[in-house]
Amino acid sequence: MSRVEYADVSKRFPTQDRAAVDRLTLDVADGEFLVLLGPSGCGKTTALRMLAGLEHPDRGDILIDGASVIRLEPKDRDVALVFQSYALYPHMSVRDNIQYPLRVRQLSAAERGRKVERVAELLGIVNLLPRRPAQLSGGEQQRVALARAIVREPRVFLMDEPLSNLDAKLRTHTRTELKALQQQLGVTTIFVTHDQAEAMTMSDRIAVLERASRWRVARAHRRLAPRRAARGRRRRRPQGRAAA
Amino acid sequence: MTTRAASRVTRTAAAPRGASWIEALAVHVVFVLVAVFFLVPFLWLFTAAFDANAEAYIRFPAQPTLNNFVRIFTEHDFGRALANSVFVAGATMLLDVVAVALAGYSLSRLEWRFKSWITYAVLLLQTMPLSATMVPIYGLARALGLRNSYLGLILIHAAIELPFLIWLMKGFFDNVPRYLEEAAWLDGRSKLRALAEVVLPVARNGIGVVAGLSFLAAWAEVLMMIILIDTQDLKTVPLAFYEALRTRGGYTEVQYGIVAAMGVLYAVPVMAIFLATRRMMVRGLIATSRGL
Repeated sequence: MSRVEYADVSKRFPTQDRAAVDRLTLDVADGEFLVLLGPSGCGKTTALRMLAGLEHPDRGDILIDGASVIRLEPKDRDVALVFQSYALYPHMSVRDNIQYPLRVRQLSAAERGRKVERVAELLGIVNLLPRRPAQLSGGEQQRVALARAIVREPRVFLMDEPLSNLDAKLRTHTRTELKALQQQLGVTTIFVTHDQAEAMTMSDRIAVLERASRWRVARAHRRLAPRRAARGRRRRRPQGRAAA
Repeated sequence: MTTRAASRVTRTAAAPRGASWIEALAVHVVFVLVAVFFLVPFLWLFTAAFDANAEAYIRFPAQPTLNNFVRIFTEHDFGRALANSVFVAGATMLLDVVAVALAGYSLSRLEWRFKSWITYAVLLLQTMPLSATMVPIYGLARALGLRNSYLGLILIHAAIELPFLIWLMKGFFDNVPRYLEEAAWLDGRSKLRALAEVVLPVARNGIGVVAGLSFLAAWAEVLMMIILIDTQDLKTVPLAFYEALRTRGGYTEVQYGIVAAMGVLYAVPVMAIFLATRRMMVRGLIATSRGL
């Protein structure tokens, strides 16, 4: 479990006129499930990728457990990211996909096997272990991607719209499962989505990003204040750390 | 459905079928003509190779014999030429695959200054006719002591094909989704290990095509062999051919049986490799135009 902090983080891509993320300040507590909610292009995925180390912020700092991680390579940050497209390695079996991060950490074959079996049982995918990703449905691929993230027991889970490729029924079912799983594991989780229902049902708190420089944070069970009132509050309050 | 309605449906369906039958016939006739055009030289090769008195035209041997094959190994030292060709083409292929994988990945994925300039400069190199660079390559090889050496042959053959193969491989890498290697980085791999364990296996059709084209180019290349090699020990198959054509008073008394037997042994290994890897090659070549 870990605490994550974005401290005044900004990012602008060379090909874009305006910043993708502008002065984002955000605290995510130990074991919390925070959802980044916002429309396409508002910078929520960029914020997630900066924490993963796949993008480098132009200014500001990102801290995990109080230590800055922005100079660390993705491999040294100990965070797991579930991609929107799942990013399963197509040339490996499901078993090899799940045990890949364990092989990287040079765990013995017996220990790898034990961990893979345990996480496969947890997610109900034991029967899928010998298959290739191309032989799986969207829902099954999503479970395998989750298993690969879980098996290495990272400090932080990052999820980039992992339910967007599922049909409506499966998505509703998976939301409940995912939330229960996060509570069981107690790992700090940041979940990106543009689906308000998803955000409300899964999160402990929601950070709403309307565009790069405009964001609000609220507890999930409260209704977010109407936009105009929120703007007024922001004007009165100096720029600084936002927390519910 | 009434009988009349049914017959109307049958007629409407039959009309395009008639047209497609003519189209299919025309297409097949063209295919047969093209196939004949390309197969006739092979027919000469395989008939002349087994003919003791082969001529420059196709004639089926009255008494098929293996004598030509025996003679190329006993009189023309073809075994050494074949081994040299296999070694040079194989080493060129390995060198090209390593260099092309690294250069193609760099041009496809990494961000560095003047990248687009260098990318187009690589393409510009490919437009340069080989014969135009013959003299400087000869001078360079002589200055560096690379004439009459395996190393010289391998380096120069690998370099000749590099620009085209780099562009080809860049295209394959462009089609490998970035999130796959990003997932490998987050799983704890360095960029180089992620390239080796995730990107290259996913782009293996591209590697297959690069390896195949590189081997074929080095196997068939003649010009550099002629200007770089003048010792019998390093003679390759194209040079053996060249010498066989010159025997006994120039081109007037060519031993066609010998030339054809060399041709068969020159062509068969390449055809065998292509047939063994045809699925990978075809998938790879299709992927270059359609994406992986």
